[in-house]
Amino acid sequence: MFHYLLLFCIDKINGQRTIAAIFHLLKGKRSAQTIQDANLYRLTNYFGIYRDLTREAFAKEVENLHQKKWISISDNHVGQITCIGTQILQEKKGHYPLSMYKGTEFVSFLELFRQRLQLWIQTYTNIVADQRKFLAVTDNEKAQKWVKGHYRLHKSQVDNWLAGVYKEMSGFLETVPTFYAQLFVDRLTGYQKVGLTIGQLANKNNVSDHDVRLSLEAIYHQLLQYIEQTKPLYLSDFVPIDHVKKNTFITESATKTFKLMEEGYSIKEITRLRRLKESTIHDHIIEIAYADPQFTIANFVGADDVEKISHAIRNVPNNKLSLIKQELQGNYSYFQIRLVLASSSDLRTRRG
Amino acid sequence: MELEKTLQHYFGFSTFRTGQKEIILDVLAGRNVLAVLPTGSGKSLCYQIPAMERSGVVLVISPLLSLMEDQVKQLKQTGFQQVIAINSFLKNKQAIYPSLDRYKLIYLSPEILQNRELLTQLKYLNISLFVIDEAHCISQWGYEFRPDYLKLRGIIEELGSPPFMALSATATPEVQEDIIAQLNHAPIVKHIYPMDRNNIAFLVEKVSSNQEKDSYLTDLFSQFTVPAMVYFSSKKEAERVAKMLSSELPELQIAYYHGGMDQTDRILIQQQFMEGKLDVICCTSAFGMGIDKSNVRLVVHYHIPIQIESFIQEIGRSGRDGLSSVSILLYTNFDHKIPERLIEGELPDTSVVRPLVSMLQKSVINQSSIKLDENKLIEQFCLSEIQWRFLHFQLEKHGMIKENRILKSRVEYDAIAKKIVCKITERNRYKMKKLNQMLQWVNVDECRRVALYQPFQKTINQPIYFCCDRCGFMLSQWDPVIPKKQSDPKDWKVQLQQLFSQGESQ
Ligand SMILES: [Zn+2]
Repeated sequence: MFHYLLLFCIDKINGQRTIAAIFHLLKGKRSAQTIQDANLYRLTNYFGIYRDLTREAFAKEVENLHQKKWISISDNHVGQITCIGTQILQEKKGHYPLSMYKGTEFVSFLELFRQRLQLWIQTYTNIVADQRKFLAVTDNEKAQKWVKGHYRLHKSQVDNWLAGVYKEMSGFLETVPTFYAQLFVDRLTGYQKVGLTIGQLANKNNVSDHDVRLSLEAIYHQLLQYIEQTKPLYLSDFVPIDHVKKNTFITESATKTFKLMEEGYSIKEITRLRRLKESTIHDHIIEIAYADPQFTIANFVGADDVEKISHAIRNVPNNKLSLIKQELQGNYSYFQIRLVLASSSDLRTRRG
Repeated sequence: MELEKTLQHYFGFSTFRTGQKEIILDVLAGRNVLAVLPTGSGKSLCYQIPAMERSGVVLVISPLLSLMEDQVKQLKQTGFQQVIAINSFLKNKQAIYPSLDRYKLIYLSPEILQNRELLTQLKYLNISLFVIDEAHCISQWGYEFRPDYLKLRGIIEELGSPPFMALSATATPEVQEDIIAQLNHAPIVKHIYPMDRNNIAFLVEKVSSNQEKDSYLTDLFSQFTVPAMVYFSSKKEAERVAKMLSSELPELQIAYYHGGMDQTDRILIQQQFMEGKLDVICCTSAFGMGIDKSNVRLVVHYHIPIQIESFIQEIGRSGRDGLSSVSILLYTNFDHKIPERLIEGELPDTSVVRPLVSMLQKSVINQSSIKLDENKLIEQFCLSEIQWRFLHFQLEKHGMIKENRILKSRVEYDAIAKKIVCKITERNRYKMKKLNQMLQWVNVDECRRVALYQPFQKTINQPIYFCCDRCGFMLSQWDPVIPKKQSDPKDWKVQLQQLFSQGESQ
C-alpha cells in the first residue's frame, strides 16, 4: 500500500514539487508550504497519515520505486510518474483503501484519540479482572490523565462501559473488511492479552511494516468517521472535544496574523508589529483562505479582478503560477493569484 | 512489621526474599552497605523501600538508562509517584531542577552527575541515601569499568557524605575490595550472597558452523517446548535466527528483542514473554534486565559472552522458580573472533590518540582556553559515544579539558598521548584476559559448575537435578516441567469478546 500511496501522491503533484514535499505531507508538517501543497494538489486526505515515517525509510522506498522504473527522478529531486507507474496505478486502483483516510480532518487529535482508547481498554479490562498492576501501553500523559479522570467519574459503571464500548466497537468492526478488523484487535493490549508488534503483524499478514502502520492508521480514520456519523453513546466520549476543527489546520503563526487582521490591522502594520517579512504574512493569509471557506478575499482582490484571474487560471494547465502570471501580462502579483486559487475550491481541484 | 506493610502495599509481596530485609534494616540504621546479590533477587527493592519509608530523598546512580525508565514506570504504576529519572534524554531538565525536593527517589546517570548546575541543586536536598547501582563499574577490575564512576567518591563528599549503598550482582572478592578502596575505605557492612544456582545444569555444545548452530536450535526447540531465551551478540543475528526458527517451527511463537527496537515494541515483546505468549525469544544482552519471569527453563548462548560475569548474569534468568533448568553454550572454533572484535571496538583505536591530542593542542595555541566542540571531534575521528566518554575522561584527567573547555596544558602533549595509548592497551589486555577465562571455561575438563563459580565464592552447593556435561549430564536425560500452553483464539470476534469478558454476543 505504501508504494501505491507514494505513486498516487507523485502522480497528483505531477512534477511541480520535489519529492520531499510528499515526505512533509505524510508526516503532517505544519508549515504554510506543506498545507498549501496539500490543498493545491488535493492531497489533504493524506496529510499527516504517517507521522512516524523517517527520512531514511522514505528515501529508501522512493529509491525502490525509482529502481522499479515506476517513477523518474530529476537532478533537482522532482519526481515524475512513468508509463509503467501509471499502469500500476490503474491496475491497483481500488485495491487499497485510500478513501478511508481523512487526513486534515483528524490529524490534530487522532493520536490522542488512539492512545486514549488503547489505554482505556487496557485499564478497564484489567480493573474488571481485579488486576491493578500492569505496564501502561502508552507514556502519553494527556491520555493517562484522561483515562484516570474517566475512571474516577465512572467507577461504579465499569461493567456498563465495557459492555457498551464492546458493543459499539464490534458494530464498527463489522463494517470494515476482516483484514482491518483483525489487525485492529491484534494490536490491542488488555487483561491477559498482549498486542502484537508492528513486525509481528507484518509477518502474520505477509505485508511490509509500512503497510501495517498505514492500515492501522486507516482503521482509526474510519472509526472516527463512524463515530461522527453514528454518534454512538460510549465511543463518542473518547474523541477529544477541545479541538476546534476549523482552526486546527492553520499554523499557530497564521492564527496570530488572523487575529490581528480581525482587529483591523493592515498587512503592512502586521508586518511591522510581528517583525516578519511581508511574504510570510502573505503565506499566512493564503493558509487561512484555504482553511476557512467563510474567509473573504475582497480586501485583497476586487470582484472584477477575481473574475480575470480565474479566467487566466482556467486557460493555463497545471495551475502553474508563472504561466498564469504571464497569461495576465504581469498585471497581478503572485499573492493575488495564489489567493484566488486558494479561495476557490472549484478552481484548484481542476486538473490540467 | 511496618516494612512488610510497605512491601505488600507497593509490591504485592507478603514476605521479603533472601537478604532484602537485612540490607534494608542496615540502610535504615544509617550504615554504609555493600550488597552483592545474584540477579533476580530483587536488588532494587533494597533502596526503593527505604525511599518510601524515610524522609529525605534517595539518589540512585545507574548506568542502565532503559532499566531506569522501566523502574520509574513500574513504580508509578504501583502508586508511588515521587520518582524521576534524570538522564541526557530527559527534556526540560532545567525546569525540573528547582523542584527536585518533590521527589523521594531520583535516578541519575553517571554522566548527568557531571553537570554543575544539577549538582548545586542536589546540595540543597536532604539526601538520606546515595545508591551506587552496578557498583562493579567503579572498579577497573570490574567487567564493565566506567570512568565516570571514579568521580562518585568526590561527589558523595560534596553532597555532605550521606550514607551510601554499593550494589552489584557480579563482584568477585577482588572487585569487592576495589569497590571499598575506591570509596575511601569508609566503614561498610557487607552483605554478600552466593551466586551459584543449584537448579541449573550446564552444557557446552561444540559445532563447526553457524548452520550447525541453526539446526541444533531447530532440533532443540522441536524437542523441548519450554520458555527459552537465546542470547546473541549481534542484533542482526538475533533477528535472522528468530525468523529462521519461525519458519522452521511454525507451531512455536518466536520473537526477537534488541535495543534497536522502538519502546512500544520492546514493551509488547517483554509482556508477551512474561505472559507466556512466547516460547522462544532471540535477544541481545539488552533483554532481561528488570524482567522477572520465574519459569524460564532454557538459556542458550548462540555467541560466547565476552566475560564470565555476563554469562552468569544471563543464565541467572532461568529457573527462578527453583525447578530444573538448563544452560547451553554453542561454540565453534572461530567464535572467539566476535568478542575480540567487540572488545577492540569498545575503546578508541590507539592510532587516533596522537592526532586528536595534537589537534586539541593546536587549537589552544593562541589563547588559554576555547570551547570544546564534542560533536565535531566525534565526527572527525569516527568515535562511538563510549569511545568518546573514555577519551573525555582521560583528557580531563590530564588537565586538557575542564568543564567542556579545552585548556592549555603545561604537560608535554606527547607524554599525555603516550599515557592514554598505554591506558587503552592495558584495558584491552585486561578485557582479553577476561575473554580468555570465558574461553577456558568452554574447554575445561573438570566440573563446569565448580569452574564457573569458584572465583566468586568459597563453597558451592550440590546441584539438585543435574550438574554439567563434564559430570555426565546429557540433554536426553532432561525432563523439564512444560507449562500448559494457552492457545489464543484466532478470530477477532472471539478475541474481542474475551478481552472485554463479554458473553456470547446477543
Ligand atoms: Zn559438574
